[in-house]
Amino acid sequence: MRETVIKSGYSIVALVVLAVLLVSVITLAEATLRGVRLDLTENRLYTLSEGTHSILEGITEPINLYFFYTPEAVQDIPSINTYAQRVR
Amino acid sequence: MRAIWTVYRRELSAYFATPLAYVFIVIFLVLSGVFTFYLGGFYVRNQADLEPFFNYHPWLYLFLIPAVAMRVWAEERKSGTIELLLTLPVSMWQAVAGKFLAAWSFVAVALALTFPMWITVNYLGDPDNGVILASYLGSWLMAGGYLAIGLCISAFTRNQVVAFIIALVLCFFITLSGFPLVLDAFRGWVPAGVIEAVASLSFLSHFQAIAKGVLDLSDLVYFIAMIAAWLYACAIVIDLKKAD
Repeated sequence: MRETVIKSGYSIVALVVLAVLLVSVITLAEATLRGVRLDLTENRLYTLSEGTHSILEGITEPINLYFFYTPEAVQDIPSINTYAQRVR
Repeated sequence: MRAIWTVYRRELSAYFATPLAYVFIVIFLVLSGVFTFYLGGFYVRNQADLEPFFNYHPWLYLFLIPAVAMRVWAEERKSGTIELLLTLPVSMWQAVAGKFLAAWSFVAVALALTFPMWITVNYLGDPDNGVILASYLGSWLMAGGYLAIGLCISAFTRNQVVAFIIALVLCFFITLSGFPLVLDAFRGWVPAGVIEAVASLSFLSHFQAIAKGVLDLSDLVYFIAMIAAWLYACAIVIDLKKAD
């Protein structure tokens, strides 16, 4: 009896540890692996072309990028939310 | 490795020896067609892509995958063959992996049989086949995630209906975990970091990210971690309830 109680205790602890591990791996992957991506579209829609790169290299003036984002406004649209997380 | 292969072959042939495989495949193909052409407005959109087809996959899987997964362990437990299986020279993880891979391959077959849709869209227009390939990959990975959850729940009980319903509800919440429906339950009493973590668990947002045509490493890690964690949980549960 006592052994089964100890065993089920171990298993429940293992399940909790597993859940925490899962969430942390996913959050960590999202934070660190950002931008490591393979663009499979035929026209490279999500990749900067060589032409764009050379234009960007030719710019000498400083460029300011403004990012406007209201978390409350996109609550219902998770895809925009994840996009904002990525480009921020 | 040989043990996994043996379990895998046995499980996969079991699907096709019973009406399960044929019923599942026919229903999956019919429903995916109905959703694409009627709800998705495939023709009305006038765009050569398979977005209306893939958009309904999470919802199709929500019902159909728990139905495949519910029998996997619950049936073994009910008929008592789980004792036989676990006393064979097969380790726990080999049995779990074999059964999962068999179910996953079976879903892959069902998914591959939707190829007429791909032919249709290529005949009608000039779609981006890279996006379609990425969507298929994402859809299959997502199916693996649903399956792993279903298998884990199936290990809890000897009643298949209970396994089905609980897996369905759990999958529903995980699918929508980025949406207010789930997040509102957490908002207000847990820190923002937890809400972000819950939101990052959503099947839907990760699938949509891949279905865009971009294979992000973090999405890949998400699906693989999800599958591995639920399968590991499945092994723990079987071990815990071995004597029940």
